[in-house]
Amino acid sequence: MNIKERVRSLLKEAELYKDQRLLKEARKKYTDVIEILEQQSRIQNRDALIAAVEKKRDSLDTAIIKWDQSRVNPEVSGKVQNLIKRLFTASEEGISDEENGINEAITLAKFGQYRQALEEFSRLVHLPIVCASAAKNAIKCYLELSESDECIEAVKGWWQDCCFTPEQYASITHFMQSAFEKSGLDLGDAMAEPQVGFAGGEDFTAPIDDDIIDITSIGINFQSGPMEGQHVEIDVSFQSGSLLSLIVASSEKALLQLLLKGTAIHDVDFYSPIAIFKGAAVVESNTGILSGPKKGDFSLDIRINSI
Amino acid sequence: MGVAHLSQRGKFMAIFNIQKREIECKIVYYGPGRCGKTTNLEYVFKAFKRQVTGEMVSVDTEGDSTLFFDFLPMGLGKINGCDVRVQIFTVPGQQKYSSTRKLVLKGLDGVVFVADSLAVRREKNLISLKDLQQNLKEYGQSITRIPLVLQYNKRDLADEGVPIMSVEQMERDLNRQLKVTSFEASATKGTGVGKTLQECLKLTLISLHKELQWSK
Repeated sequence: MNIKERVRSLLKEAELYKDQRLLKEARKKYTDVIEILEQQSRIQNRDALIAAVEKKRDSLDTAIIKWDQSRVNPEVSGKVQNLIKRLFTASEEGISDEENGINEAITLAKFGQYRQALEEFSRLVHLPIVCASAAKNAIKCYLELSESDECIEAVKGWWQDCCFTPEQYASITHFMQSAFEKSGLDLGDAMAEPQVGFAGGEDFTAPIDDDIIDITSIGINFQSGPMEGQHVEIDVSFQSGSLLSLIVASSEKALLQLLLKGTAIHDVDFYSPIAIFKGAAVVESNTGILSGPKKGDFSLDIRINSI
Repeated sequence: MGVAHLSQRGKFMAIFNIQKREIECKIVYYGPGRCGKTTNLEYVFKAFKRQVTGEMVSVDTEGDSTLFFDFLPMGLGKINGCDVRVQIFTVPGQQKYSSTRKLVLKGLDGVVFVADSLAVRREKNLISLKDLQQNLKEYGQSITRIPLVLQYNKRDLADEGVPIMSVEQMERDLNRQLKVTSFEASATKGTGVGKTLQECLKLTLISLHKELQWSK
């Protein structure tokens, strides 16, 4: 293929990729053309040709930047939001309308529809059966929308409107403290301290059943120590409520050293058949297996603390 | 009662209403960005009017890429005495929509994996298939057990003089281990689109029938 044919073929390819909205692939072909032309000194109007192709490539660059910067989950129309709620909220028998309302609003938030979800959570905060769950989810939405000041005002307003019991308010402000910290924000003493004791430690955003869902495996994300930055997945061999039994091979010496009895695991992915849940756990036992096909390996029991 | 949600680990998520004798199952079109998933659905919407039971919903971006999903409801009529309804979805294929893709995938009963025949998209096909396998795993499902059909789309582009992969190469890349039924297609022209969906529906219904025993 001579140069002219080669250039023509590459340009044709580039145009086709552009039509297919394969922008990066099209850009690559234009770049190939420019490089070929730059090596040819005998082509008439070479500089004009290069300039023309560069112009096409620049226009692609603009489109690529625009695409890269476009929001992943922009707010969509109410019609689409209703469809999202209808199609992606798990139908559960025996739950109240209020709880279903929470589930629908959570679905919206999962699809990045924070403004509408916030509107729905703010309405649900006034219903006693779901007020605490609605408030916590609303706090998350406010933070996703970078509206921390509005969040503080809203929670204070709900408290003044007597939406919560003192225990619920304590739980919500504790959750808020943690959520603000995770977003790199300082809540300071913006929230009034309730006059009740609160054990703390609650860190979930969705209403969860009393029974812990089946967990098929867990993923531990090590944030410090010798395995810092590593993610280790382990299958669950047996589950009894929130107690999970795992088998770890004796060859995993570093892992076994980090999972000694009493160790708190702060960042765990719990894999279930329906979703992955983030949470924390504590190692309740770590014992060597003395007989059977897994002899020499280790049996670990870990207790789910939060999910 | 009367509504059974089969949601055991590794099983299906179809909704079976025993009293009404209705089954609703979910088929998802998966594949890399710009491979033609939406075009497949648009063709199905136009060509299978009799089975389509509602409007096709597409949520797309300015650049015409699928943003959240496309949705098409279909009804297959009575099969073994049961009214079978199908919800067909496409996922957003672009890398940055991974969390949405996973949400849409949840509870699926069958998958059509649409691969792009363009040679320049070879790696994207492989990444997307791996992504499907991983996402299914996270929902407790296995790519080797789920009803799955492969579609090698954009075969017509060979006529435009751009490099496309041979079917043999695509089989080696994507289907060497899976060994599932695959179809050549051109979604813009409609070639192979119906066959792909029919095969996926067939596999899905066989699988569900085995699971639900609904004719009994």
